[in-house]
This record gives sequence, C-alpha cells and structure tokens, in this order.
Amino acid sequence: MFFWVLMGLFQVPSDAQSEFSVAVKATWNDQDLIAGEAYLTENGEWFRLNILKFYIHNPSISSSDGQKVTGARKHYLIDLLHAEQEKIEFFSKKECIPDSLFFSLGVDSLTQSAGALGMDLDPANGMYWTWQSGYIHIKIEGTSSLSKHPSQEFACHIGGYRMPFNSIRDVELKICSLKEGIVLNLDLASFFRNFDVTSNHHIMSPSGMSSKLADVFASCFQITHP
Amino acid sequence: MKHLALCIILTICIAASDDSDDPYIPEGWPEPVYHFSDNPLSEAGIYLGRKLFYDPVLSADSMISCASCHSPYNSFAHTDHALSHGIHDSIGRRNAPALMNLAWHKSFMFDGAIHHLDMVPLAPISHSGEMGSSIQTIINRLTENPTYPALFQKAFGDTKISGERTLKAMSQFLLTLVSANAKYDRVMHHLDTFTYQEKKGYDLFKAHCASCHTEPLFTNGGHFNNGLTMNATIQDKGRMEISGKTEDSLAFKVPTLRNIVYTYPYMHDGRFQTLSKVIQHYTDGIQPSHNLAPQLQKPIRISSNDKADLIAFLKTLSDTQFLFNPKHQYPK
Repeated sequence: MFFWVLMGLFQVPSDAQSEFSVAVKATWNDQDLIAGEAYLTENGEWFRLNILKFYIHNPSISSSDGQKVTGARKHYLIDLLHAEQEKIEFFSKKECIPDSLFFSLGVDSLTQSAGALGMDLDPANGMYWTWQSGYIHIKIEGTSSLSKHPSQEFACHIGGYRMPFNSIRDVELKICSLKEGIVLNLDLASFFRNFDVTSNHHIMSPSGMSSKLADVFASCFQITHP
Repeated sequence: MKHLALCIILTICIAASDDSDDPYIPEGWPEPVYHFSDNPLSEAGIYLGRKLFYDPVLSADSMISCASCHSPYNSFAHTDHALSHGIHDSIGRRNAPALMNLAWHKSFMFDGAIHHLDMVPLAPISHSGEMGSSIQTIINRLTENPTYPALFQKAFGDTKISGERTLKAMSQFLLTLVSANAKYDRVMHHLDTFTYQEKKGYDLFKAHCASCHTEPLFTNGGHFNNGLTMNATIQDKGRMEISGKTEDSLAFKVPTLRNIVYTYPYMHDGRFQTLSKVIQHYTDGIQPSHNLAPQLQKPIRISSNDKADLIAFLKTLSDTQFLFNPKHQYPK
C-alpha cells in the first residue's frame, strides 16, 4: 500500500528518475483566492485583491536521506491571481522522497546587479522599480474597507536587497511524503491580520515597514495536499 | 582550384563569424565597469539602440525622445536648460546630465539611484514629468511598428521584443558614446602641447579639483555634498532621498568635466550659468555642513588670473570629434 502511494506521488521511470511539481496557490483562510472577489476579516471588514505577484529564487527539495533537488529554474515570478496555474518543477536523476521544501523570497542581490534580464526577470513584468534600481519582490494591490485612501486602495510594493532594508527571506517547509501532491499555499487572511492597512495604505519603497512585511509574508506559506 | 577552395572556405568563415564589435577602451584608461560579456556590442544592436534613442514613440504623447533632453551636439546634455522639460511641458526636478563614457560609471543619476546602465532608461520612460510611459507600453508600440520587429531580428536573432532586449539595445548605443580625444588627451599622449595659460590652469586643476574630478574620466564617480544650499522650491536632498542616511544629505554625483563648455548650466539643478560662477562658488560660496566633502573643508584661494587659467584648461576638455560624430546623431 505504502509503495503504491509513493508511486502515485511521483513518476518513477525505469531508470529511477523523479520528477514532481509543487503547485502554488493563494487562499483566504480556506477559500480559494479569486481576483476582485470580496473576503471578510473576523471583524467584518472586507478586502478585494487585484494583484498578487512575488518572486522566489533557488527553490529546492530535500529528502530524508540527504538528497537535494534544485528547481527547474533559478527564479520564478509567481502570479497568483492572473496566471492559469503556477507551479515549480523539480527533476531528479535519482529516486527521491521529498521531505522539505526550501526557497528564498525575492531576487538575490547578485542577480539584482546584473543589468537587464529576460523571462520572469524582464522589467516588462512590472516588478522592477523604475525610479531606483531593484526588483519589487512582492506586489499586493487591491481595495479594502480598512484603507483610508479616497478610493479605498492599498498597494504594497515590498523590495530592497541591501542593508538596512533587505526584504529577501528564506522559507523552509516540511512536506508529508505519505500524502499525494504538494501544494505551496499562501494564506492572505493571515497576511492582513498582521498588516495595518489603515495606518499604511501605500508601501512603495524599501523601509523598516517593508522589511517587517516581508517577515509576515514569509510566515503565510504552508504546505497542503489536494 | 586549391586557391578557389581556400577563398570559399575563408568567405564562409568570415560570413559565419559573429559581428560583435570590441568595445573601445582608450589607452591608459581603467577597466570598464560594464560587463560587455552580458551584452556584446554588435552593429545591429547599436543601430537599434540609436534608433530608439531618437524615437519619441518612447513617450506617452509621442513628442519626447531621449534626445529631447540629451542633445548630441551638446555632449548629450540639455544645454541652456537648468531643469529639463518632458511631456505636456512638465518641468522636472533636475538638470539632465551629459552622457559619455558610461561604461566606467558604477551608478547613474545625480542621486545614484540606478546602479546599472541597462536599467537607466526605465526612470525617464516612467517618470510622469519626463516621458510618462512604461516599458510595457513601449513594447506594445514597437511590436505594432512596421520597422522595429525586423531591427530586433537583426540585433537579437528573432522578432521578439522584450524589456530586456529594448534596454540592452539602448545600452549598446550609449556605450559607444566615448569621449577621449580632447586636446587634453592629445597632450597626455604627447601629440599636442598646452599653451602657457592652459598649463597653469592644469596645475591649478590638479591642486584644487582633481580629488573629485579625477583624470582621465574627470569624475571619481562618488556622491558628495559640495557646499550648495538646498533649493528651497525643489527641496532636493540628493543621495539622501535614496539611501535615507543623513551623511548623504545634499550629496550629488560628481559629474564629468569633459566637454564642460558645452553642457551649461551647471550643478544638479542648473543653478550656475557659467564656469566663472561655478568657480566662484568653490572659492566664495561653499556652505558649511556636517557632511561637507572632506576635499572642500579647506578654503580654495585663487586669484582672478588663476580663475581665467583654470577655465582655459577646462576648455581643453572639449572633444569636437565626439561632439560632431555623425555615428552618434539622428540615424538616417
């Protein structure tokens, strides 16, 4: 039984390779997050999200026997409201039973200094600050009854890769290898419980607040299984 | 027959070899900061960048191109404009700096906000008072334009137009703007001699100016508070607006002095119309400050004759070959 569960978890071709993908999705508590839909806080305030995009780099999966498999790409721009289905893929030449998922939020400082780059790192993705050098690591925009902005907007553009306002964060999550499928779940309800939109409806540059919010965002990830 | 075969093979080899151009590094200059290996220069890439530089399609109202504020005949500065103006006649906060020798710069803009040449165009493209557009809009416009897809194909191998390719093409053109053939350079290579007055001016320069305006680039690339009062209307705090550090208050990037005669007015807000006024600031106008550049702590005491000699030397930094190079001008 155990063997068949494992077989169901990932493909194991005859030369014993492993490939698996980690689906990435956003929720509000346990509801799927959909762009433009209203979600309520415990106090009856509402939030609507229009943009939810973030970078991760160096994703890897490690197994209990010490193997480490790196992601198919070094950088991923994840769009959780407007892309079809975001996933991070891993290919291993050996059989591998995943135990933990690692990734870093944001774009590493070496890449930040490398000039114009393409694909997920292309500035045309709208995730690069034009007024000063640096990628926007996390972009969350929407409206909320808690925002004091005239049109109830809020916008969090969290970035910064140099001290003292570095918002790159490492995330490590345990995977239960007995369950099928791996989902990296981001709970926005948890994020907004720890972000006071009323006091700060726009965060647009590296600062103490943006660094704090990077900590909060990193804590909103968990592994679930479909 | 053997000769014919050799000719054919040679022709094939030449045709198949890449057409990348070696970057021009003047003799005796330090190594460039820009990594040419990340964006090798090619004739097609440079031409595409040059075409983009002169194309007002980059701005929201299609009226403003890069050349609107960076004029080729004025060392790519905005001569006679203290502050530049962009779309809808908006006035900006700062003077447009002259563009040359950019491969040697570690940071860009008067406040050092941008640290890689490739990313510089994003700032004026997106600024509401300059071009008021976005890289996404530009990509859409270029894709629909009848000429550009073929130019991108020539430069990058296929017709895909991306932010990366647009910015890299612009860098390629900007990197060809090298000014290193002024009278000063010819004197340094023993191909010419200073006049008596120019030589005196050069000695004064070395004694009082070269610690920040370091040869051969005539800038050390740093950001310093050079004793200017803050413009009360603009309230421009310089590098401190980027770094957040009080020691960067009113610190601005040291500009190059090459072609300085052509790039008036001077300073980050164009407050000085003439070189005499600039020198007068350094001898009599320095405002004390907690973070005044160490190089300016001691007063500069020079006579009026000395000032005239200094200006005579500064005139030897004019490079007419650079200023009137048809390869830098509007592409025909």
